[in-house]
Amino acid sequence: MIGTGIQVNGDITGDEDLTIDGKLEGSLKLDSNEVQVGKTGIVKADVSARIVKIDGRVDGDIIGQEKVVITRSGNVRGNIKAPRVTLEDGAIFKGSIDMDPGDSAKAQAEALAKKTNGQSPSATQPMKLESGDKEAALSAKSS
Amino acid sequence: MPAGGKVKSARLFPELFSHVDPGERLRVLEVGCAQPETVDFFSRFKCRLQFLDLYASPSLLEDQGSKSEAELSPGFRKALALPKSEKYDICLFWDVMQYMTGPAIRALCGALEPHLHKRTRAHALGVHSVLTASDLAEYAIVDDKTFRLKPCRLPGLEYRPHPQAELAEMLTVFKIERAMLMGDGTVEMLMASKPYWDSD
Repeated sequence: MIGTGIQVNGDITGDEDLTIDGKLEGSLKLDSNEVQVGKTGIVKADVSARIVKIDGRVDGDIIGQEKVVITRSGNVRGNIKAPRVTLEDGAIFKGSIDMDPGDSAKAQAEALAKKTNGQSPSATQPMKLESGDKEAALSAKSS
Repeated sequence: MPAGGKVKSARLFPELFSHVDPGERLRVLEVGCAQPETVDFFSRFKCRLQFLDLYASPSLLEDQGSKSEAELSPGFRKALALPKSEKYDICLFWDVMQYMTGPAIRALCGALEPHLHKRTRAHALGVHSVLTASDLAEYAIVDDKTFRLKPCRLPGLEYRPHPQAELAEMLTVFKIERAMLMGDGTVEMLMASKPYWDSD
């Protein structure tokens, strides 16, 4: 654990879980373990771990071998890569998210694509205003 | 079912996914704030989800009033800060264009142009009449037919509704493919990348 009064400048590697309530600048690589950035934690580093849970602040790219969770008090600026990413209501995130959910979730995506496939208009169809329901159709006529 | 808050139905949104190959990585640009529901929705896809939060760049939208497209362009390019090689399959604009001037919309389009490809599709919300009231909101995707509206962090932004014909001219890189009038007077729009549309 890196406590609230501790500041670390440098690279951290190892094979234990780590909680950061203080400050870290550098890099953090614990690919088989869990990293938690506590509410008071401030990390300016690229982070790579099995599970990354963020309650505090991270400026840097994050790789989660299993998942990344940003809780309601979390604030992340950087790019995230993980099979699963969870953002809680209130969390602040700026950047990009790369997700690869694997076969089960991909099946859902296939179902959504199949559901809509072939229903799109042709490329030569002119722009037109359609009505979403009867009420809308009436308001369109009267306007 | 959504847990609460104002919700909005979508009719055209599912069609964004009609060209999606589930085996390929889907590249999505959302012009808005990252929302938990949206991340959850896209977690079913192998995808890259990029957020361009214009509301987090207040000066860009608050100072747009009298500025020209040329004056606004550098700001949008800086805010986008996208990797040069990154091309997007889907762009989500929500209702942000109803809070942007014509030059600002053109500047945004110009900044996006290098990141579109032949099959890029986009989705936006507009109004049928400029008299239609609107609540500035941030949008979350609950499912492919339902959005949740949340209070915006820049509540003072000036509402600048554009008639659809005007908006179509401002969208220099998109062609409005279909538009659906909804019961509340808003219009859901499905768009395709224009440079490639015209060359097809």
